[in-house]
Amino acid sequence: MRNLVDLLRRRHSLEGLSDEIRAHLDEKVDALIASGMSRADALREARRAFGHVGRIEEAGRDVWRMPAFDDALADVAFGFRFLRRSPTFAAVAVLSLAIGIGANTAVFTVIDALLLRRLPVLDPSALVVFTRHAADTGEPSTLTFHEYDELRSRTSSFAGMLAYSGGDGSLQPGATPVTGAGEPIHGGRVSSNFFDVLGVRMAVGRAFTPVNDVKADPERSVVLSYAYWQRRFGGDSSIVGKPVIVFRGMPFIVVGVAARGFTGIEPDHDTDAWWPVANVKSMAPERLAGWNVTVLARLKHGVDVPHARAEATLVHARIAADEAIARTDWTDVRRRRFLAEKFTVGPGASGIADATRARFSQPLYVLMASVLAVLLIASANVGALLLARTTARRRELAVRLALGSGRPRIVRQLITENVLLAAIATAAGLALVPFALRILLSYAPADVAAGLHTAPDLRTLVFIVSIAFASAVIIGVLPALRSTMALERELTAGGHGVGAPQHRARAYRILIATQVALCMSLLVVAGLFVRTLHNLRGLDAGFDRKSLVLVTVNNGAVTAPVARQILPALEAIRGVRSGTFYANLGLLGGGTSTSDCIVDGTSPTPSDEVSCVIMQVGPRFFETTSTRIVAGRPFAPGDEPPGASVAIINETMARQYFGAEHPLGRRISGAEVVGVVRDTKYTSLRDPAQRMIYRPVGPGWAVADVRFALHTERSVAGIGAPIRQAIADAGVTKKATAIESIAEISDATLARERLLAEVATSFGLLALLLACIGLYGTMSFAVARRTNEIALRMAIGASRATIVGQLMRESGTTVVLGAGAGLIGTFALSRLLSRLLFGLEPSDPATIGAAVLLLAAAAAAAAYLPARRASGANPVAALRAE
Amino acid sequence: MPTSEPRDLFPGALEIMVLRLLQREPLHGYALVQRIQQASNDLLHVEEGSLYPALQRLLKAKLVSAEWGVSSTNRRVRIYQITRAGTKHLVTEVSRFEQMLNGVSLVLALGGGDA
Repeated sequence: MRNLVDLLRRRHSLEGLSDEIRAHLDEKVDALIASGMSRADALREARRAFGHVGRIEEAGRDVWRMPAFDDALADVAFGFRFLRRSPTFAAVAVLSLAIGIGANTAVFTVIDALLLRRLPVLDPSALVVFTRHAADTGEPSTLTFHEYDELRSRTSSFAGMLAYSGGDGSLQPGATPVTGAGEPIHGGRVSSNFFDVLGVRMAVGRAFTPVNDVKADPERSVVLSYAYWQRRFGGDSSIVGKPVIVFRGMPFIVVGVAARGFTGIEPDHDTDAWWPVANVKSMAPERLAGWNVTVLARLKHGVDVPHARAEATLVHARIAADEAIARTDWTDVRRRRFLAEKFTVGPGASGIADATRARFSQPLYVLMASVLAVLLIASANVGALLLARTTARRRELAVRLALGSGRPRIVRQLITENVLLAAIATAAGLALVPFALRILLSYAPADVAAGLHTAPDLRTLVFIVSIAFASAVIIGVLPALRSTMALERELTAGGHGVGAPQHRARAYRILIATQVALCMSLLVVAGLFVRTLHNLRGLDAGFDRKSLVLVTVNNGAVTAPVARQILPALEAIRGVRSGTFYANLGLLGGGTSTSDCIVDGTSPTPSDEVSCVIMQVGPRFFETTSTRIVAGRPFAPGDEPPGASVAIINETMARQYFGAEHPLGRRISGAEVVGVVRDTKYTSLRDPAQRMIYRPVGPGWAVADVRFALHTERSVAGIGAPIRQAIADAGVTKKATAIESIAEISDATLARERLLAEVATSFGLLALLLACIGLYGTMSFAVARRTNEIALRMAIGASRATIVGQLMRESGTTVVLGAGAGLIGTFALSRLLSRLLFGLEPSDPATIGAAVLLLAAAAAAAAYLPARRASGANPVAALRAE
Repeated sequence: MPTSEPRDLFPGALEIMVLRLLQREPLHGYALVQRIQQASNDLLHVEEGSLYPALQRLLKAKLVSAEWGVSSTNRRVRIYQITRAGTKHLVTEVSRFEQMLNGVSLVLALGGGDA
């Protein structure tokens, strides 16, 4: 602050110093002339008496000097001039660093939003989350409300425990239900103590009254999020206490609005409203007991996680044992599988987003590593180019050193230039972040992309500052120290400017080899992901993946008669060859439904695996989806229960259950097998072959969402309007909530693979480009420095090919070493990678071969051009220039 | 060592003289030089230019202030004025200067035991 005031005063005081001096000289001359001197003599005498005007002015300025500040300003100005003098270098350096910094910031922002950010609740670090894991696959799943209730009453380590179940639904603002007026929201069904356990305050009104969620008949109440309240009710606090929300056809009283900034406990979704878990029309106590909920608990003050974990695990084991005994309808296998499940107590500070985290956390870490590698390459690259430039500026620097500029002063000058470069690049990189974020989030499901909070927080800022600082150190500080140290040594040793000291050449080699190594790893990883995506896209899913349009319909539950009423209307649309329907399970969407399947007349031993995936389908299912019938027949009219009990099984089930025997005519759980169809992928293209059984939809069938599958060559865009019209005309109060082609759906299931393949490829190629620029730049420089040597050797008869060959061999060694190190690095990562790959190993020879060839070709080109140019030099001219 | 030549000033002497002169009346640069030479009977050699850095030092230390005005020869000049801080500073500097002179005189009065 004082500096600033001084700066202003200095300006004011120094302004006019020259005028003042001129006035002084004029007065003196006048006085001397008046005393009888000639004008010329007077001028000379006045100047003599005054002293050197320039020096005096300088002395006046010196009075105000703020050394550190002025030097820094001069350095920055010098730095700008230096960058302006070499615009191509500046552009390449700034752009490559900016891309690196921008990409790093974007990836880190997503990691922060999805994995690291803490919930805006009271002391989030005291929260833990309970999860159940399948014994074999480790697949996480939630607990039941019954388990929650038991855990809550039988443990003592926790100050509070809440149950939560989030999901999409529809709400209607207003006091009376209006058909079709609902709007989609993300809601949370919660235990009534939800806000108390989290310590979230209300902006208006009150939280739910804590009650016994199982026994009490809860009030029909809802708490709105602050954002929803603002959006739908304009922040009107008079709505509190009034029944102004219609949910499932019933009015709900808005009891409160949660504190601003609390958007729920799912980082990947903003929650609009919460209501008590028991508060659903059909929620009978038995149904509530089996309800799947996420359980979050707050540790009692002074209780540590291991202690709490031990207690909760023990209590849960007892609850599970009781449950296993109580469920007399279970097979032994099911019981054993249930008891083998692992109960875990994990940190709950950053909320719950199991599905999104399971899908994207590993890819995000892989991406983070890739973009860090790219930034490292870019920094090393700019560092190498700067080192080359510094060496080219040796004459200037040597003169300044010799003239007595201290080495610290020169080092500071060089560092300022490089820090300036890093600062400009950081600013440019941050400008790129919104675009990079948009690209990244386009791979996530739309609701997740919208739900993640990507506004920078303190952690992001710390990250940005750290990477900017690190890249500044790499590009600037080390080269600056190195080159001036070398210069000083040369000066003191009386060295001559020919030939670079050995250690500096080594610095280049290390920089280049590092770049090549990172580049090699990135290329191999990118290749692996591209081939994984290719494998999955080309995979035979067992059904037709081209001419199928899936229409999801709901607006309340859908029953079999309603589905049968809609289907003919859809099939009548021009271009639709056939249509069918099924519950929103399978055909690459929704969840799975499994059941125990036992062949009649056999009694499986307790160790037999008898669970199978079950799919209830409408008419012409196999015809519409082009699923091939391997044996027997498809379902026919008259197959529906209760009149008949038939089933169609897939090949895997036929093979595992009947082996070489003929399955047709056999009965499974009472249903006669009438056909065998090809294996199909169910919820994901990565699904392993699993036992599947198909049953015709019966009269009692009712589902929350129904999906119609239409076999048509028409595009979604073209057929969308007719489909909506057909459903409206069918005379039911249902609506199409989604119309998607099977290609879109299967591509959506490949989001993770596309993210990895496309982003990793982009960065792999960018890395290659940067490494080539680096190689080209340093090679050009090295060659230029050795012009004399080359000219001399050519003058004594070395052929051009020999020279080029030798120069290329020198950089070739560096490239080969770097590439080797890169391959070793990739192998080290292979365990992390193999889980993300499909249909190939991390050591896939074709991928590695292709990457090596690509790198070798690019590196050879980058090294060949300067080598060739150098060998084309005229020896006489080159030698004369010295 | 020749003794007849005008002596260089010791550091800070010029500033004290400027302050003393300004205490009597506000002056501009050229006038200040004139006064110094008149007052010292031309015994002191002041490079005229060196007055200006001294004035900048005084400005920076806020011991004087300056305003643009017009000289007797009708030129646009900066007229300097002593500030309250400047007056205070002058008092302490003068007493320090006198102390120093006393000290020097005492040492010189030891006389020439030339040994």
